[in-house]
Amino acid sequence: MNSARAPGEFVAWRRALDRHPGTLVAGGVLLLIALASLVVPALSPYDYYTPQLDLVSRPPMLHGGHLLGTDPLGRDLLIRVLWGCRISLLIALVASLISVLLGVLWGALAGYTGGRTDALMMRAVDVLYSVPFVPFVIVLTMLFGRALWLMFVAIGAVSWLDIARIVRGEALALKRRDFIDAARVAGVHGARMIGRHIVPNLLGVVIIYATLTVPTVILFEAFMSFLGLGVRVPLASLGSLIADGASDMQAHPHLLLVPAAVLATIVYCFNFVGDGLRDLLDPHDRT
Amino acid sequence: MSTAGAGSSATDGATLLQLSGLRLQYATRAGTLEALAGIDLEIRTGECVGIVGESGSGKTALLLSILGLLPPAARIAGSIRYRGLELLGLRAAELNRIRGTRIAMVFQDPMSALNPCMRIIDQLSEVSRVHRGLARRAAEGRALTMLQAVHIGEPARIARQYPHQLSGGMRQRVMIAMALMAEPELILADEPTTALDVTVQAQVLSVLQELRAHSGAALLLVTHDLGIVAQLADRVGVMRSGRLLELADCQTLFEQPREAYTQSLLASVPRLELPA
Amino acid sequence: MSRNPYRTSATALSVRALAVSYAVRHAGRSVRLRALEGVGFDLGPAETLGIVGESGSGKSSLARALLRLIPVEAGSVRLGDADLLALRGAALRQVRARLQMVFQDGIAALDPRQRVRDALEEPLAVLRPELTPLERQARVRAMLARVGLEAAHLERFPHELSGGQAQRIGIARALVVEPGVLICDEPLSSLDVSIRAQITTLLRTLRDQSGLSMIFISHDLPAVQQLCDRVLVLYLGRIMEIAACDSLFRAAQHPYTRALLQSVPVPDPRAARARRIVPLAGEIPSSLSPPSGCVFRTRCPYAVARCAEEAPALRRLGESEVACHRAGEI
Repeated sequence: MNSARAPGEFVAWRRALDRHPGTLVAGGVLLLIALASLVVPALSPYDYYTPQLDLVSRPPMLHGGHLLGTDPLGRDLLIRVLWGCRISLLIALVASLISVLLGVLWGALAGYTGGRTDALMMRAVDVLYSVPFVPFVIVLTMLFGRALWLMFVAIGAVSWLDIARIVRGEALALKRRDFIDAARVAGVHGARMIGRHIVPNLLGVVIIYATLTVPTVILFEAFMSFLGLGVRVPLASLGSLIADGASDMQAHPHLLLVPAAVLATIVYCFNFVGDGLRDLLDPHDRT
Repeated sequence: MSTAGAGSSATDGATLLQLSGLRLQYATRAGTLEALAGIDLEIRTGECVGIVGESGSGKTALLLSILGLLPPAARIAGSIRYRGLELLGLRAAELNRIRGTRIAMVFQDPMSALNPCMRIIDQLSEVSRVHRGLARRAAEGRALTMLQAVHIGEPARIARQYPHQLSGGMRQRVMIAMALMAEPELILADEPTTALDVTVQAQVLSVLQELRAHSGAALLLVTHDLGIVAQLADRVGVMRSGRLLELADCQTLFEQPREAYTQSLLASVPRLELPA
Repeated sequence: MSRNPYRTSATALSVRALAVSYAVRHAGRSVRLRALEGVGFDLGPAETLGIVGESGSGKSSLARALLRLIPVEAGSVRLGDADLLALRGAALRQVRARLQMVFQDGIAALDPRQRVRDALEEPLAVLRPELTPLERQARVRAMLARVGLEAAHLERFPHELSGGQAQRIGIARALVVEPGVLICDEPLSSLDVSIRAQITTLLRTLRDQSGLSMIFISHDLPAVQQLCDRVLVLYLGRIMEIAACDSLFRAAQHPYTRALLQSVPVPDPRAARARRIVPLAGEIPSSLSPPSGCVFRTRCPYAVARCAEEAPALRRLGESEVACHRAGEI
């Protein structure tokens, strides 16, 4: 009875994906947006910064060349929005990467080492948790001026805390499992143990939380830009576009609705993908 | 302690349970899984029938079908007659009555069968109060008597505890006590001692035998352990892949097994070489 | 027959007065649970010692303590000339190549994200760093063949293995570094009955080929009888009896051992019904509050007043050692 082989990993993934068509669609949409934001601005005759004062704040038009209309400076909204996507996605991915790397290392080390080291490391996380985010970013902006890289650092520096906690909890649970004991008996310890046995078995959880962190990060950034702390003009992020559009909401609603709709779509899709990944990876993990 | 099951006399050799052409299928994502492929089995009053098989043979599915404890995805066909009454398709209320008073079950894992939030005494007396309409005091008295019958020391103290406070062997005996509270004619037991230590297993089996002798209840015992079956069963059936391969008198099965599978099962059983 | 580089005529493993305890939460307070008390025995070269016991006997704690996976409260363990309990860090890791373990659940003992190939090479990479990758691979392949598996299994992941295959891999992993002592912690209990005989045979073959000393922990008495030279019986963390395998199964001296042997179901209806066994009364006591004196007295049919006052020491009785005041009389 026990000699039946479980299906290979790849087959299991394929079958699971079939059960979650929504995840595939969401993933596809994200990919499409990302591709569009990279490719379309290169193909378009318009750029995101040259003002055209004779075409100010036009609504979306099918034939006039500006598919989504123009902004108060006559710049093509479609291109602006796509550039905004580029920026938002870039920040999201880089900041998430920073937070994941930092969070995983911190949490895995704390969880596996245990004892006083663990206590110290997690107390540090608790302290940082209590730092209010917005004033923190404001201080950073005052010190370093408004710059794109500042967004990466600021956001990455804050979102790693959640991941650290999750990873530490998982590492604690992993530590008790038989195969870790077996590795110890084989002489494995320290960096090798954490790198080869602890972290790879956490990855499922990490990927899930990373994809769920991304929308949070995007919204953070949008909020920062909305407050005027984010990217510098003439660069735009979805947040700054929303901010700009909000001030002109009544007269030209498209200026708000378009970037807001795109932001909502991106966030929604990331959440969907994260949920799908959780279903995919969790039962597989708990062998 | 009362003797015979409700109604009829204990060991008149009448047929208690008759399974005819019992088929069970589960609809799964991977297609239809056939758990039982046509089982014919008869159990008479007072006898002990052991069903042995490895994991996946369908032996647990057999017990669950009799009691109607299958998941909704299960499709069942054939006939299960209890004293002539067809159980398949029976109304829920009727089935409940039979489950409560005529047929009882002892599960493999007592922790999942016992309510963790109820004291032992309450769970035991519940059976009497619901199915026999006894008053609380009388029901509790019966419960204590039953705990003594399963050789639980200090029954009054144990009765006031919760399941998680008891050891595995004790929980299993409490389950047997609970099964017997209903004065059943037929007890179904699914691997009742698999999770227990050897010395505790011996205790539990001894209790089962003693109580059966006393009450005359029939026992359908499902296990993978041929040693237990050798000790308790009058007749033995061997199951494999949802089929009942062989059904014979206990002695005959062990000494002159007909099927090759039975022979290989017997050969693979570890035997302790003890002085005679 | 491959030469075991650690085979000497000296005692392979020597344990004295081992005590292991855990801190647990009970009724809201933190108390110490004594899992092992005063455990001592010698393991000779190429000898197989069986350790039997039921729940609460401490046998798993013994395995883990010997391998330094859990802290030891008192006692000493000598592996050849090395004081195992005094070593730490790099020195301890050096000794690991000499003492290995096969775990209870073969699949759980493998990293779910590691292929079999990596799981088998890892002990060599860590404990025998002087080997080249090619040499490692050659040893892994050889070991795989010895446990009866094929090269195709190297690429599999643990969830693609059956219980029996996973256990063979566990054995291969333990033996690939050529230890002198192997501890098997209930290696059969998570396997189907039909597979157990295969694994028992495999262990015997490998042991005979290499002159390995082995500690075989199990509650499966027939398997112990097949494999072991001597048997040690544990009850509630204390040794009840140590005897040669034949002596134990033929004429056990300790009341608990006798009860244990009697309780094993016999797959023969005639014999089973002919036996008039009286099962042990009572329950296995809680390790949190063990009975005074002899821990077995609460269930022992031969207990007298002295048993409650004084814990019996392990003393010689013929060829065996028994911890019972009344051994020899009963």
